Amino acid sequence: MPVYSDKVMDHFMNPRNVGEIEDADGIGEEGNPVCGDMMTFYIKVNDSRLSDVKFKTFGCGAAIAVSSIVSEMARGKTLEEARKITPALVAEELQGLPKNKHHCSNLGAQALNKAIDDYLSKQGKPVKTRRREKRNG
Amino acid sequence: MRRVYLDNTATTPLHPEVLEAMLPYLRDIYGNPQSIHNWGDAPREAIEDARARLADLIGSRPEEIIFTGSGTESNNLAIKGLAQAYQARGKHIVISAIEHFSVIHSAKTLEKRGFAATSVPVDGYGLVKLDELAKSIREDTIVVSIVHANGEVGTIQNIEEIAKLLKGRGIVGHPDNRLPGNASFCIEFIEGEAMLMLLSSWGIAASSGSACTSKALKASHVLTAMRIPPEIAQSSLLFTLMRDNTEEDIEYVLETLPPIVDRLRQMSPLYAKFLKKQSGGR
Repeated sequence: MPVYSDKVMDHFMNPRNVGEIEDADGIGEEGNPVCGDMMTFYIKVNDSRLSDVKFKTFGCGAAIAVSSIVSEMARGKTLEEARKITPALVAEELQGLPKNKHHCSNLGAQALNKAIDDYLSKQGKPVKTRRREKRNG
Repeated sequence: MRRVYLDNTATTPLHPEVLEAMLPYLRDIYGNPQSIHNWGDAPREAIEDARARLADLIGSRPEEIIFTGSGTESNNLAIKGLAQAYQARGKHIVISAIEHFSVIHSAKTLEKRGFAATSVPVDGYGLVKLDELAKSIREDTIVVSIVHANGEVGTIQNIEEIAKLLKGRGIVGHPDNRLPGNASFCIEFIEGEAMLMLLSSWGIAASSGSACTSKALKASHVLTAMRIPPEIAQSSLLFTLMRDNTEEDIEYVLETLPPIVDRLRQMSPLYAKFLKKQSGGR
């Protein structure tokens, strides 16, 4: 088993914000089961702020911990602020990730961004798709 | 908390009788068996005695028994050694797609040294396709190395039929053997490493062939060769038993595993999709 930080273990054992939002304002799905990990993020937006963030994840311990911390980091943030959650910040917040698990942090940030894109397109607003991070995995 | 070790293909505890037989040589009796002085006498006698007894057990001559440090070393020695010894006769070897890496990598090394290697496919149960095996054998085939019992999925090959195919053709059969008590599962919609981590938190050791549990992030070559779809291979869970495991141990696993599966499935978008499909929605 890879050596995970205490923070990763905590978020894996007690993941925050697991679930779906029935009347979500935006949904973002990233990854696919064939490559091993898949994350779906659900967001609620109030006054341009993420009032609720939930996720469902199929994947390893790191994938689950990443989803959990991303949901925590994004909650209460404005859309602009949430856009600034990068894979590097996610990994840092988790006290580091093993090298071969870094792609999981990309997936988390991407899934959240896709959910924001989905919200914006539903609002008929221009979607500022962030340049996609290069995947390590 | 109960501790249950079910990862005996990875490594297994020493049998107490083995420990007892070895203790004198680990503690009191030392010396190089090759030495002229008499420190070497007792170790030499012990090794030769062990060699003779092993030979007797499998019906070989003592000098045909070579001790190595591990199964990986044995496979390397057997395949590369046979290939080198018989290369005047031919330079083709046959293995199956579900061999241990020590066999697959030995074959690859030989290919770099000018040998040819054929990997025979298996069916969905991990059984070597005998017709494919028959087709793969050539005039210049010198070695056929096929794992008798697969350590990951537990499939036992029809080794007698395989031996018949080789008989009278001057081919050496190498039936690698690795059989623990083996229970191999794929639990759909959840991933192996996550299962292992939760099982470990409940004191249970198991293993998985999922991509996420491997350093190279590749799904098990055995499951892949059996044409298990990648998303199903991701959910691989393997228990391998030892003699000291008790019925209570297994009961404990049977109590502990279902809530873990439930917990991970509640988190899984794949399971949610499956449930929606089941109920007729999209």
